[in-house]
Amino acid sequence: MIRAVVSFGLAVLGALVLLLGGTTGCATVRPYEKEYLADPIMTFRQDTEEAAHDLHWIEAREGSTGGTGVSGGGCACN
Amino acid sequence: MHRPAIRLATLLALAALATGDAAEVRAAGDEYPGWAGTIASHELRGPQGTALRIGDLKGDVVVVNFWASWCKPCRKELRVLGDWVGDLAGDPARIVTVSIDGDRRRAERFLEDEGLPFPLYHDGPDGLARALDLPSLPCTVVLDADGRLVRVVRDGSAEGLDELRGTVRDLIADRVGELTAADEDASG
Repeated sequence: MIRAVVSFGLAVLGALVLLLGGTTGCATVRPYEKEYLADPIMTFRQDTEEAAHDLHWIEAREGSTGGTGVSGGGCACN
Repeated sequence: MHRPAIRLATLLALAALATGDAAEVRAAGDEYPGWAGTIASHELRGPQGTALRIGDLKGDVVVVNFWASWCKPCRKELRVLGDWVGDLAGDPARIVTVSIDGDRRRAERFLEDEGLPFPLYHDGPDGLARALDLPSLPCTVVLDADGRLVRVVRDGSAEGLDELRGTVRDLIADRVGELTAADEDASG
């Protein structure tokens, strides 16, 4: 019985530690602090320029401009 | 017979317009308390080590645009503002573009590449942007000739810029009216 209580307590303690650790890792980034986040190197693909080019011609071929979350579009002409 | 009524209607319309302007100024000032003073007192570093205090531009309508070379909507907005520069020539108005790039050279390179007609006022992310805790980027602020905050445009959209243009035009017209009246008083 005591063992079960201790195990439960340890589990709760562990969960609390994880929760607190997780919350301290969160930070609000203000708009003027996003220079590094806006860097193309922060994307998952290494070849960001090629990715943009690929996307452009896929959009032109499929007529799907805006499908990836960009506003406007349709002709993919520029 | 109807003249008094027409006069009264005109006066009421003018009063409504004036109240509307005052309400707009009050609303912007209430929404962004302290901004006008912070912007006016901040010293910006310009080209060749020159300094500019926006408070010293009182008497002109001032558009302050915060931008960064890494911010795509800012670049788009700057091109639009660049087109305005020629239109505003000779008017009592100034456009001051404030770069918040960490590296001044990036901002310089962008202005050169685009051929934009703005002197570079580089302030970095820890200057005025942090002092105001800018809620968005791009962010454009309009101050009237008395240095009061009139409008803050936060999205850089075409509609927002059109509204901004309208506000600037109205403020310039007001200022030109004031200057003309002052000239007439002085000469008469």
